[in-house]
Amino acid sequence: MTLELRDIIWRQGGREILHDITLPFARGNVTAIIGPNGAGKSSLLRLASGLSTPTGGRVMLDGRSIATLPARKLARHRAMLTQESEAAGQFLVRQMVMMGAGMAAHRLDIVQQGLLADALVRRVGLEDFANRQMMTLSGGERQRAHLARVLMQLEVAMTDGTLPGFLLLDEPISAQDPAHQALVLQLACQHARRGGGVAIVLHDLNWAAACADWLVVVHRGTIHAQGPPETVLTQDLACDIFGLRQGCVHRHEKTARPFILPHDNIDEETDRCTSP
Amino acid sequence: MTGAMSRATWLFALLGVLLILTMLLALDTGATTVRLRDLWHPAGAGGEMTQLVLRDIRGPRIVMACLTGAALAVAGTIMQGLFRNPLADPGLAGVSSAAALATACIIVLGGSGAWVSWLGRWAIPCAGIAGSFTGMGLLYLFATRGGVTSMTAMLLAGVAFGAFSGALTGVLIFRANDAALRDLTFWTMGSFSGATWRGIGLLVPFLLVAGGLAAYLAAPLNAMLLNEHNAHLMGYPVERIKSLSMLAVACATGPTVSLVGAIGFVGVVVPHLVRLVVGPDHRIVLPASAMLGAILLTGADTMARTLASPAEVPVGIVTALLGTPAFVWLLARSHRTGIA
Repeated sequence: MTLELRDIIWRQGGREILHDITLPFARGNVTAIIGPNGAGKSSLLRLASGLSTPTGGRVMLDGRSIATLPARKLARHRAMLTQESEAAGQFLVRQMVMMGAGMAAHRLDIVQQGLLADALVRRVGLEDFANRQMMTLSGGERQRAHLARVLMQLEVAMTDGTLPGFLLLDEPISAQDPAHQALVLQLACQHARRGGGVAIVLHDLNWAAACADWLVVVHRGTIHAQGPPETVLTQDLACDIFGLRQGCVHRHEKTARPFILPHDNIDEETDRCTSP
Repeated sequence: MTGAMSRATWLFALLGVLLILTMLLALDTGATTVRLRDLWHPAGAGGEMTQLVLRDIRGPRIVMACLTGAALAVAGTIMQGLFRNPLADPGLAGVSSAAALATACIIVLGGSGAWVSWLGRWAIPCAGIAGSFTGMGLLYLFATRGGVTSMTAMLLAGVAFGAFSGALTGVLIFRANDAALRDLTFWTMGSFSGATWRGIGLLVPFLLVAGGLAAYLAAPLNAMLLNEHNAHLMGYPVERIKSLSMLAVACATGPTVSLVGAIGFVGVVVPHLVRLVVGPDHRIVLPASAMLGAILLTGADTMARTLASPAEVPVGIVTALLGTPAFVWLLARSHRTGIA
């Protein structure tokens, strides 16, 4: 039971953005996609979601090409949080989360939808904002409201016994403070523990190494490395791909997962970060 | 949601009462001395006169004003939702300008054509309907590449198309004789004076299609406010929503504009007023806009035929005179609150 990219090629504006990408996302797993700016991480996620159509290759959902699935059916098995968190104007937070039910809204009556939306608003820490207009929220709060809407989509799909779907998150913690970064990633992990599949594009290597079961490094439009964080996030990778200094990758005492200290990348003489 | 729903319930009740009151007032008011209460005292020739005025003159006029107001407001709501632009109106989709051009062709050039004489007095509305659907179709085809319709291309092409149609209409006006010029000028300002039950019969099938589509589109248009990508990810067939929206706008606007002329501001102002009270949910805004549009246009038409009685002011002038200050106020308010 997977969402899988097979031999994907994607060109845009005459440029090859992605090539030779074969990558399965398994249910029950958190896959973190990391890589430098412009490596093609978000493009990869958009292809996996069906938002973009690959120039070559196929995206398969449980053995079926998603190109043959109608949007309605696809929406029952995958949901995606995009980078653009629309202000959604005058919609109240609770209204916007309920909209996540989408074309499956008829499965639940309005009271059940409201209860589910309330529960999700609480889970993303916005219970005090439920009746606030979206446009009055900060960027981080708006991002979490959209996360609740995306979770609503998968929760409503599950009401008829459908397996937990694939949750695709494109930089979901980019606007969050540290506490809410932990909250968002915890929600993603919980979804995987319930049997859903999770793919997250992250820039923060420490969070990626801490929460992912599988780490995928995208560089110059192709998969440079993939595997468990312990084997992938090495000193060589930090230097070669991310331009960080030697000795910056450490191991956590308890979990043995790798992490990077920013201090190791600061020039002691000038107190400035080193350029890659 | 509960607060918004209860507010919506109150709004529907209020609009329902207002609509009935406006229709009764419109039925009771007019250039002749015939009043609604005369219906209950039909006596001799006076009774027949009462029935004639109420049934054959004011009746169809009021129904036509209601239907036109509702149709234009619904079309405006759909356009604003689809383009995610609070200032969009049906005119942007090329429908009104194409209908105007086709109508001008018939008024100025078409008097001698065989099919025009066969259609008789239906020639102008039929040409308007054909013109509006053709205009919308051309814009849609222009903006669609590889099965994907670009709303930006459609919007820009709509503006260009409107300007070009306006120029062609100008050429026709330049060539028109005095009678045609007068007909065209009155058509441009809009009027319900020619409303008949037959005209309403021609309009109703189109409005039923538009109404059915609007009911289907309400929830998808909410999702479209979160942008097309999110609507697609939520499972909505985005391209079908766009094409059905344009069809609904063409069905609502083309036939009404062709029958009663160009009436501005209802399509822009009414959805705004409704959103101010109940928020942006299209499941509430669409029916409420239809009701408020019906009320405002029926009221405007009653004013149009009584302000300078027994002469009649074109209803387009009344809606523009009332609509412009309301529109400017909305713009100023949006600017202050940072909505627009």
